[in-house]
Amino acid sequence: MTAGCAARPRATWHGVNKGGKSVGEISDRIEALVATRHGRLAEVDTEIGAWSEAEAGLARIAKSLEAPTGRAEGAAAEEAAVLAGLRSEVAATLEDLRAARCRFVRPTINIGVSGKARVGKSTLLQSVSGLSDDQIPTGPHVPVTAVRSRIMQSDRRRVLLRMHSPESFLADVVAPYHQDLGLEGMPRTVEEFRHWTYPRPDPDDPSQHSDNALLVNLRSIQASLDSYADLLTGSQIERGLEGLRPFVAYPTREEVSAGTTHRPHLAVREAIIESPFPHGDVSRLVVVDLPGLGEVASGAEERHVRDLRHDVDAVLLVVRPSTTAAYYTNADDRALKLLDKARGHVRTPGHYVHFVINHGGESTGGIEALRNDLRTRVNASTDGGFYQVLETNAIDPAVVNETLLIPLLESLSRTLPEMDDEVYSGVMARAADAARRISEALPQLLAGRAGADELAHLEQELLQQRAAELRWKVDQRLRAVVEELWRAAHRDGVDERYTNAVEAVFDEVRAWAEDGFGKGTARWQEEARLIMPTERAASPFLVEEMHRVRVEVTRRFRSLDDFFNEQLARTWEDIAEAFREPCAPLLGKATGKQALHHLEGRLRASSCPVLADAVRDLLQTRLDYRTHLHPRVREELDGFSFEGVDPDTGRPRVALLAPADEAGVELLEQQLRERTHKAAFETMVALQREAVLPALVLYAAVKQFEDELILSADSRREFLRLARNHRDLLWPDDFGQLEASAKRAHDLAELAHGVGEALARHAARGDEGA
Amino acid sequence: MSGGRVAFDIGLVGPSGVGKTSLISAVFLAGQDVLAGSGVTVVADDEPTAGLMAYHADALAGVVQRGQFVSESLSASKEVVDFRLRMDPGLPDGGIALHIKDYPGGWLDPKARQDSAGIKKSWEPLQDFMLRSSVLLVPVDSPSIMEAVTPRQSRAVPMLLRLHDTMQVLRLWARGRAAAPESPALVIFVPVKCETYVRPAHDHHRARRSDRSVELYEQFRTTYAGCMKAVRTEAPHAHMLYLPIDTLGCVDRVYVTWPPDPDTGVRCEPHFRIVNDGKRDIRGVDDLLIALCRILTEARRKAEQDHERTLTEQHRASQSYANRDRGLVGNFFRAADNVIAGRIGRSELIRLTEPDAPLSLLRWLRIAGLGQWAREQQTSDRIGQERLRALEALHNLQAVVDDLAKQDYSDRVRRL
Ligand SMILES: Nc1nc2c(ncn2[C@@H]2O[C@H](COP(=O)(O)OP(=O)(O)OP(=O)(O)O)[C@@H](O)[C@H]2O)c(=O)[nH]1
Ligand SMILES: Nc1nc2c(ncn2[C@@H]2O[C@H](COP(=O)(O)OP(=O)(O)OP(=O)(O)O)[C@@H](O)[C@H]2O)c(=O)[nH]1
Ligand SMILES: [Mg+2]
Ligand SMILES: [Mg+2]
Repeated sequence: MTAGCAARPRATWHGVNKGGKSVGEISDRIEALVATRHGRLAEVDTEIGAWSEAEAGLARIAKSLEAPTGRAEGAAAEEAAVLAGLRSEVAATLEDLRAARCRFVRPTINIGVSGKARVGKSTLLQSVSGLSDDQIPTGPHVPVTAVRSRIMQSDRRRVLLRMHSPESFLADVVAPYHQDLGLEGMPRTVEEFRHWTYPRPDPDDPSQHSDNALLVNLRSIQASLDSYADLLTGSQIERGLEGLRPFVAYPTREEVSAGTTHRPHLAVREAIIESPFPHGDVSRLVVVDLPGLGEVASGAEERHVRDLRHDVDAVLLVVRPSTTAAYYTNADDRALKLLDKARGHVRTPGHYVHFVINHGGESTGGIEALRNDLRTRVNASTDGGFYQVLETNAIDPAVVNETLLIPLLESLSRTLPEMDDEVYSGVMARAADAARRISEALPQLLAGRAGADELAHLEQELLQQRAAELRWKVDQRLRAVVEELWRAAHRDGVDERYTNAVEAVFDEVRAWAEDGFGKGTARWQEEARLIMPTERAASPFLVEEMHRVRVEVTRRFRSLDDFFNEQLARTWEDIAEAFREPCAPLLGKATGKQALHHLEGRLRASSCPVLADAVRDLLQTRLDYRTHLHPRVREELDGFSFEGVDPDTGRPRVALLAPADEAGVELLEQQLRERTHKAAFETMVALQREAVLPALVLYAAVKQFEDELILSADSRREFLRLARNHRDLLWPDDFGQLEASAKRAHDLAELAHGVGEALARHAARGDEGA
Repeated sequence: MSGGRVAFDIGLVGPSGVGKTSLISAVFLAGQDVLAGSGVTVVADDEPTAGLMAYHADALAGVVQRGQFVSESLSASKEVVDFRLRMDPGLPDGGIALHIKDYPGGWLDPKARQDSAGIKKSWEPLQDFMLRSSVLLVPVDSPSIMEAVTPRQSRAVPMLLRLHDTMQVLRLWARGRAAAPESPALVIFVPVKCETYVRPAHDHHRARRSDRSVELYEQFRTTYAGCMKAVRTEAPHAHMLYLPIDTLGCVDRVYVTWPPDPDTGVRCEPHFRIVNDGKRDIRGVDDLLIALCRILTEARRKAEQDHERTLTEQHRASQSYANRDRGLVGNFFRAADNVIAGRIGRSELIRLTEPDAPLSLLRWLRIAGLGQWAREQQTSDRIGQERLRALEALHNLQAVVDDLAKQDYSDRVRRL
């Protein structure tokens, strides 16, 4: 390559120097231009910063809008659509800004070549760069340049190959084919692509024949996958200038005919070639070689535009007469139209696009014809009326220098400042415009949503509703408990477990009495005999025994307390359960009395004194033998006292009398036993007749509780307090959601505010500008 | 009615163990006391009765002597036994014959009758007898209605008392009575085993509370409301009495157990102790005799009224009476009517007073002033001394009956 480059004499450059503006002068102007551009960078960067912020803010807004809110689908979809519009506007603005930034950050003047295939673009760039076919491939007949090459003036001689990653390969190369061919699905990996089944051109389906060319291309891309799959690394490869061709050029006609599957260029995104240009003085020159337009390749035009858009300051639209068509063709016109898209904010197309008639190797007649046609069609029959038309011989570096490069640079050095201004103000105006629209639309978008105030109201209402429900549920369940107790105390009357418990005590006492009052008959009689003979019936023994019996009977019946405790426990259990479903967390893990204690604590801590007192009072309910039943049976046991007074004698009455002999002792035992039996029996019956009493006590207590809890004047208020204090515990979902909504509303407002802030300055400037 | 003699038939309706036999025994024993000094006494009218009464008295005495008393200590009746008690004015075979058929209470259960052809066969004449009776005695088992406290116990009570079967008999009986509205009809509900409730206890401290007679009455009314209603609806003219009888009087209920029972769920098992040194102290039989005498006198008064009517309605009417089934008492009074009406001549009258006279003494009950009339005839007529004495005795019996009928019931009795 060095040889090729050395072959191009610097004299040529100097030659140009003689004939037109001094190269130094042009260089100075370009230096100034670059400096001016850099001066704009800060502002563009600020702008980009603001818009990036706005973009991120909108992304977050979109994200939080995506979260389910329970709002109407339609409203949500509409919202999403509006937001998507805003986001794409921001994205477009940002892209614009970035394009502008690329422009202003460039230290070089970049010139792209565009035009149909085969017009000599690469040939022209060879002449400019001094490189050879090995780096800038050219060739007859079939399209050659396959990959964009940026060729820059440098002291180094090297090439950087920016390779596709598998993803970018699939997205940039394969996907467009799928799209154009209307193929369903899309390989997600290279391997999937390898095994993807593509249709063959089908002679029996005429409607598909027009797709054959694309299909053949795609299939050959697939077939040659092995030649480049390994290269899909997404990285940069630095290499020397030799042997570059296969990476940037299509296979030659011969190779294709030989059925080659060697297409490494498919893995290459871009080649950046650094090399000393023959006209080294113009150090800030970058030329971009592109595949020609009009090839059959999906996505080619889009890529073409994209490659030019950000990257070049001006485009050379190369036209060349062919033996059959020496005129400005439809394809040329399409190319011109396409370049309009790449022009961006540059206002004057003629500043951006420069026609180049390559008449190298062509007949003069053809050139003449093309020149005239071009003049008529694009310049409205005025020389340079709309576009500058340069003529050169692409293959001759000296001619290129003289007829193309120098005039072009000279022209650009005049128009570029203007173009830069246009780009700058275009981008800024657009940003201001977008900023204004977004600043208007965003608050509107969010206005439809419940605001923080409204949410606070909603929360209050929900709380009140939940409190009322809570109270109602507790009441309902309590009432069931009360009703059951009422039934127990009134209608059904008797709890058989209670009567059985009482009967069991009676049976115990009976057995006890029959067993010599717990001493064994023999022993009892023995004791009686020892003490009786002299003392007779009024003996201290008998007095003591009767006392003992009374105590024993009382004691035994007191064991009914177990039963009562169980009753009580069950009632606590029932009441705790009444609270369980509506407000389980307030009861803790405990059940029954513990749970109610827990509840009382919660109530007190929640400033619900009335409710807390109600629970406390309830828990103080006593249900025991001594309190409720002993007074009723006391009388039955009085028969065991000697305190009775004989009405006739006025002396203490002796209850039992028996002769002081063997038979007397037996009789005495029998009498005492009968007396014990009778007293125990009467006690049992008295207790059984009071069978409703425990239920009555419980009923009264629970009814009272219900009254205080539900019907008291403060009930409603305290339930509300309870609800408020424990709402997150009791209804985590409800209030969690509301809170999330509130938070989101807040966040959205913040975000919107942030976006607004970010854009405010620019909106304001837009106003100034307008 | 046996041997063509008229007797005062008394039906007895009660399940096994309620105390039917004891009640008869009590009437026998206490009846003698009631009539003591009146010249009239209650005797067993036949050998078997005498034997049974003696046996029953002995059995009870034995029970009492053992010191503790359990209801089941008397053996249950196994067959129908005709008790014939007679208010004996001192005439052989004379007086008011009370005819009571005792039978095993278990027969009251229709199922028992269904299961055994023997029982079924014996039951039919027994039921006829009951339905014919002017007076029905319904012993009421007091402990069952007084001691039931728990629902389970209360549920068992109607079955223990065989209330349904009792009501069936009462209803049938009442229908029979309704067909003869001019003849007397009396149901006596007799609470038995009720000593503990109707008399003050021996324990001083409880004396105040121990009189549960009102409670017994209330419980009875509640429990037997259906029975009473059945009688009242079927036979509005029938009288009903509540008349407790202590057949023992020397026992006191200590406690009651309710052991499980396959038929009734639980059954009532009272445990008694002996009090009053085991001296039998029957009460209420006097009330029963008063009731019986009242019905006799009332029947007579009714017959007299009938007679007035008969006189005006002429013979045909009285003939038509004769053709009606008016019950035994009614038939007897028809005979008496004839005497008064002079349709029976003196010789017939004498014949009527003969010991083997077909209508026996009951017909004389009705003959007011018969004795007086006889005395007036004394000198002029050649009525034998013996017969005159017989007439005197009859007159005395009549006076006793009238006297008893005039007596007040004790305050334990209630008209229902
Ligand atoms: N004699 C002569 N031949 C030329 C001239 N310009 C181009 N050619 C020939 O035309 C053919 C095509 O030229 P390229 O430079 O490969 O054309 P291209 O526009 O780069 O084509 P693609 O890369 O396929 O788009 C080559 O064989 C060149 O040698 C010229 O000025 N004079
Ligand atoms: N305490 C008490 N017990 C009585 C009384 N009358 C009867 N009894 C007891 O009740 C039990 C049954 O009495 P009975 O007279 O045999 O009864 P019943 O109705 O003849 O029974 P059956 O022959 O089986 O139909 C006996 O043990 C009697 O001692 C009473 O007035 N008081
Ligand atoms: Mg080319
Ligand atoms: Mg019997």
